[in-house]
Amino acid sequence: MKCPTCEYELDPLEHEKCPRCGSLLSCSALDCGSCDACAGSFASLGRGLFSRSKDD
Amino acid sequence: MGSCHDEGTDPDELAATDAETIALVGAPNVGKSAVFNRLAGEEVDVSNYPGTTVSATVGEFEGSQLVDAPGAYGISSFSEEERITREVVLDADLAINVIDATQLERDLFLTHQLLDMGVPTVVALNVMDEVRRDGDEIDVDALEAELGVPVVPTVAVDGEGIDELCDAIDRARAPEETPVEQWFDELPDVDASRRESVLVLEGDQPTLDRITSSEVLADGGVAEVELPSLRDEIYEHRRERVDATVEAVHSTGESGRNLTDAVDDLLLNPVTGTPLALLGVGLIYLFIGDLIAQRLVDFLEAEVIGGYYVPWITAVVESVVPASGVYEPLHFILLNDNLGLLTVTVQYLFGVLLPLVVAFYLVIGALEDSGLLPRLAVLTDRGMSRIGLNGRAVIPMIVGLGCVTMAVISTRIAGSRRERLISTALLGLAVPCSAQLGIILGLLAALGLGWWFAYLAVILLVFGIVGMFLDRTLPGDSQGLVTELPRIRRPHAGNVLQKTVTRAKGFLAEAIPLFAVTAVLISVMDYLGYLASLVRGLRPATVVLGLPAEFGQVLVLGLVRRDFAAAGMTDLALTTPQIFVGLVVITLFVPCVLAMAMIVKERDLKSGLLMWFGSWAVALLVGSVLAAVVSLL
Repeated sequence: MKCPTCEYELDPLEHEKCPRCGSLLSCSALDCGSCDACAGSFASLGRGLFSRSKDD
Repeated sequence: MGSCHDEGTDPDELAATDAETIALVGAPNVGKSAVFNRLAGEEVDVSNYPGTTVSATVGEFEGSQLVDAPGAYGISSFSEEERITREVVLDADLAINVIDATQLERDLFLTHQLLDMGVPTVVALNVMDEVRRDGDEIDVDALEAELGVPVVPTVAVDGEGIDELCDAIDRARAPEETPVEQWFDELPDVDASRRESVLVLEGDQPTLDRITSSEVLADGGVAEVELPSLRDEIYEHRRERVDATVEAVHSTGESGRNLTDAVDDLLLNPVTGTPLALLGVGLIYLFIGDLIAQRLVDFLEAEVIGGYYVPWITAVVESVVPASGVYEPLHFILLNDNLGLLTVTVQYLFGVLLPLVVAFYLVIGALEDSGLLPRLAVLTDRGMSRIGLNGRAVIPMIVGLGCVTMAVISTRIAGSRRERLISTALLGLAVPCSAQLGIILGLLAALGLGWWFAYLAVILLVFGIVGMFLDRTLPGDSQGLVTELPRIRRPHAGNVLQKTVTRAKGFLAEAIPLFAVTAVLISVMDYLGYLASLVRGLRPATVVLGLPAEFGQVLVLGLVRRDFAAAGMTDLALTTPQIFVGLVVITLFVPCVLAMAMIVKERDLKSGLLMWFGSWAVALLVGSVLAAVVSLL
C-alpha cells in the first residue's frame, strides 16, 4: 500500500508506522480503501477490532 | 526586520555563472515558499495546502542562486515533485531545510537524510507560533546538538527568525560521518559522491542511471550495474534516529483538544460539513455578488468612470483627433461605443473586472491560507470519485475559480495522467475564472437568488455529466484520495493581501495588452464592417440560443477571454431568462487563449483541440436546451 501521508510504498504487515514520514498505520488512522493488508472481510474485521482495541 | 534580501543579480544571470546554489527543501506545506519570499524578496504564492510549489522556483539571495524545490518528504524518486527535488539537492552547494515544528516526527526524516548525504544544511524550524500556542516545547539547543547543524526557530509568514536564518546560512554544515556508511560496502563499483552513494543504497534508480550514464565503456555502451535493495533497512534505521531525536528535544504541553480540533471535526463530518460549505458559498456570494458587484462596481462604472473619466478622455481625444478625414478610423478606434480603446475598454477593465477580480483573489487567498481547501477535498471525495477523480482534484477546480490557466498547471497534483486529463477537461469546460465569475455573480445578483441557484445547478449538472462520461470512456482506473490535512489557521492578513496584490498585478499585466489588442482588432473589424459579418455568421447559434444577434459579439470576445465575454454581456439589453441562458453559455464556452496554450503545453495538441471544439458543442447544446426550457416559463 501507499502511505496516506507521503505515498511511500510499504507493506502494512511489516510496519506499525511509515518508516519515512512516521504516520501511524493502524486501522484507526486508515480506511480499508487505502490499505491492502487484509485478505478478506473476516481478516479485515479481526484486524480492525484488534487494532482499535490496541489504540484505545 | 524579517527580510534580508539585497536587490541584486538576476537569477538567470546567476545560473550562467558559478554562483553558489542554495536549495530550499522540506515537506509540502511547511512554509518553504514563505521563506523563499523573505530571502529572495520575490512573490511566490504561499498557501496552506500541499502542492503550492509543483516546480522549482529560482531566485537570488546575496549573490547566490536560491532554489525553492517542490515539497517532498524525502529525497527519492516516487513522484515528479520528488524527482525535481532530488536533482536540486544533488546539484546544490548547501540546503536550507524548512521543517514544520509541529511535525518533527515527519520532517526530521528528510533532515537526517540530507545530513546522511553530507549536504551542508541549516534547519529553519518553522511554524514555531503554533508550537507555542499548543503549549508544547522544543529544546532548540538540544536539537542543534543532536543534528550537529544550525537550527533557527522561525515563523516565516510573519518574518520572525528570518534575520537569524540569514546569519546562520554561512554556518551550514553536515556531519563528517554518517551511520549509513555501515552499508557503503554494499555499493556497486561506481564512482559516486557521498550524496549519490546514499541514494543508490536506498534503491534510487535515477541516481544510479545518472552515475552510470557518465561511465561509458570501450564499446560505447554504459555499464550495467545492479541496484542494491537496502531502502527498507536504511529507512527503518533513520526512522529510529528520528524518533530518538524527537524524544530528546520535544515535550508536549497539557493543552488537550482545542477549538480548532472541534471546528475540524465539524468540517470533516459530511452531515455538518456540507451545510457549512454551502453557508461559505452563500457568504462569498453576498460579498462578491452583492457588496462588490452591485455596489462598488455600480459606483465605479457609473459615477467615477462614466461620470468623470469618459467625458474627460472624450474631450481630450476630440481636441486632438478629429472625427473626420484621415483621422476618422483612429477616432473610431479610440472612442467608439462598442469597444473604444480609451472608453469602454477602460471601463470594462478598471470599472468592472478589476474590483471583482481583486475581491475574488481576497476570498481565494483567505481560503487557501486557512487550510479549508484540503478539508473540502475530503468532503467532496465521494462525489468526485463518481466522475473518475478524487477529492484532491477539488483544489485545481478551486484554483480554477481564480485562474483556469494556473489551475491547468496545478492539475499535476491529481494522481494519474487520466485524472489530469479529466480535471483539465472539466476546468476548460465548466469552471469559470474569477474575472468571469465576478461579473456573472454581479449579473445573477440582479436577477435574484433563484436564478443564482439555477445557474449553479446547471453548471454542476454539466460538470457531473461530462465528468461521468469521461470516466466511463477514458481507459484506466482512478486512484483513491491520498492527502494530508494541514492545520486550520487564521489567515495572515499580510499574506492574503500580498497574494492578492501579486495576482492582481499579474492579471493586469496579462489583461491590459490582451484587452487592448482585442479592442483594437474588434474596432477595426467593426469599422470595416467585418464584425457585423462575423456576428451574422454566428446568427444561427444565437437564434438557437434564443438570444439577440448582438450576442454573437459576446461570443467573439469570448474566443479571446471568457471574462471579456462576461463584461460584454453587461451592455446588452436582455430579458431575465436571456441573461440566464447567456451566462450559462459563456461559462461553458471555450477556454481563454492563455488557458488553451497551457492545456496544449500540459496535455497535448489533440487533447487541447478536442476540449476547444467540445466546449463549443456543449455550450451551444446546453444553451439551446435551456432556451427551450425557459421559454416555457
